[in-house]
Amino acid sequence: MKNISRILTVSLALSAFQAHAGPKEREKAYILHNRLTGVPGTNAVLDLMEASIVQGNYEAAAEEAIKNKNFYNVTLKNWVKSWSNRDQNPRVEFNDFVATVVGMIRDSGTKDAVTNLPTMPFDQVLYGDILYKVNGQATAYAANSNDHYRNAENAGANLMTDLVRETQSANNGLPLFAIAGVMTTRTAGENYYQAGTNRRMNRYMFINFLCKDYEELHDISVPDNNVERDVERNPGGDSRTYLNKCVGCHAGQDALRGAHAYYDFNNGAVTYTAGTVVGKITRVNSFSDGKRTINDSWTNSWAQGKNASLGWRTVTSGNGAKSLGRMLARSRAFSVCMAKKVFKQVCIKDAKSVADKAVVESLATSFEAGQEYNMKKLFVKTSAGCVANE
Amino acid sequence: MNKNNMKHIYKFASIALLTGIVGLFTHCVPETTKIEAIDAPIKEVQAPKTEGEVLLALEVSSGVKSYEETLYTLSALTGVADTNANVRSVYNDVKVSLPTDSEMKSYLSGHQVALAKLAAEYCNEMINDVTLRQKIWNNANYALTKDVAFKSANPAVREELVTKLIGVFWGPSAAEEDKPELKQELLDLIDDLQEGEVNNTASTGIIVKGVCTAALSSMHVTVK
Repeated sequence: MKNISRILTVSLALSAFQAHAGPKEREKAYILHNRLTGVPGTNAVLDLMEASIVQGNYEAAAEEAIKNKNFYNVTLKNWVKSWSNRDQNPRVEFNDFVATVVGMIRDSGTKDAVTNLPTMPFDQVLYGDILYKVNGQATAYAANSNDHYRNAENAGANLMTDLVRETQSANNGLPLFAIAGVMTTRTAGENYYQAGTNRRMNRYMFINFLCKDYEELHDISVPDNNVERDVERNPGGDSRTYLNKCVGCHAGQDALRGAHAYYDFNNGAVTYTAGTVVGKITRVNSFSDGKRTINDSWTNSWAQGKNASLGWRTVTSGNGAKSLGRMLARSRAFSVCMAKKVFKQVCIKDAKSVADKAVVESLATSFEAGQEYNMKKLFVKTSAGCVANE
Repeated sequence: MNKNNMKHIYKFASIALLTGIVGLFTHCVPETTKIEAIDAPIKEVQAPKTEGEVLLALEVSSGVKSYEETLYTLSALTGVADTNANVRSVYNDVKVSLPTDSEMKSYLSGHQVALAKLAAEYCNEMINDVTLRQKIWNNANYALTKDVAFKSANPAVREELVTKLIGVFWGPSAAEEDKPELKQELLDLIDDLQEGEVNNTASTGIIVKGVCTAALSSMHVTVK
């Protein structure tokens, strides 16, 4: 016991000395590799990275680092896991949501040989017909089970090489027009369609992909004609609460909810009933004159007013989750949010200073340039910039 | 409104404005500032910040490794497979106590204890494996008793043990100017761990594992 406490004391005493202070270029290569992959690089890889850094080419060094499978297996997997559940917890099983995002990032930057257009722009994460499975697994994919992904993780699958791109429409039984990127994955359904009133899906897509929770979008100047019947107009007997508080969020979010009117989560799978609004949406009627969802149309009431600053750039009304996903993913807020999240991940800090905010804006612009939405490039540029300037 | 009333209103407004101006000059100048001379520096007296406030205000641009990053980092440094049954068993026990994210400010003593436990298992597996330990100490002779191996008259063994640990585990994360002091900490640990141990070859292995654990569970390994 005495020895254990002595060892612990020494490990803490050793920690008191400044970490990361070796010869400059080598040290930078070491940090860059750790930031991107979570593990130290081998001497051979650090040699290559150091040589690039000596030339001032930090991006080449970062590109070398992400050839390590742990960029996918550790960094990206754990980064995205927290997007896939209500608790925003990274300590959950690997799943179809995470596999699809990691796969899309791995394949970002590829271009069609004929058209030269990007084949995997990351904005498709909210509307594309994409599903990544894990190759060589004994447990087959099933639309109503996570076993395929859980077992793949437990077996130590290599996410850099083993992820295989397929389509959801060929695997989960939903029609092509109802597929909306990760929103229609089994895991998203389990977390965001199950029970409730289907408002949760949009809220978490705003949190995860636009970096905005509804509290931040609160705007009581939006007309309340889209607030649904299940919202009380005089909560606690005081209609002022409704007018000054409830309306701020519900006027916008209820106008968007129609997109998910035909979706539900039953028996472990996402279900879609074309033309039939799921019962849970209209079950409660607290105010008969309120809006009643009768189809899957949606409109973006936040396109005007203070939330116009999110930069909506496509149509602001439509039908179904696919068109809603496209509107979200093509907004300026999506690009800025992705840049912010990557910045936080590899620079280990929030972009709070004026200078850091400007960097994030610039990265967002570069990310969406030419509608390439190249996530891998975003990681490379962001990490290279941070480590070079530290 | 008659003229008399207007006069009262002007008078009231003038008094209010004057009061406001006086108020501006008495309350808006920071009371903590006193100009002593034209070119003298301005002294500001502020309430001392609590340790928590100082910590909160600090902008940190380094982070700690999360549970899974720690597992793979220790594996990469020791050469012990992360799938090793004994390592996995300890990892599954301490996983929840290792950091969830990279937030340095929320790093707790419990995280460090969990890290030391995992590091101890990695060191145990590495040192029990001749091939792996020879990658670090190619000349190590574990057939020596502890007195022969670590007595002060035989500094080469102690020196090699510590120097190579620092080189392999910490790489460029330890500053060159700090290394002599860091090395001395580990050398002192060797002396401390010898106390009360039987003078045999088993004790030699135990001491090496202890030093290995201290080096492997330091922040030089787990900071990113």
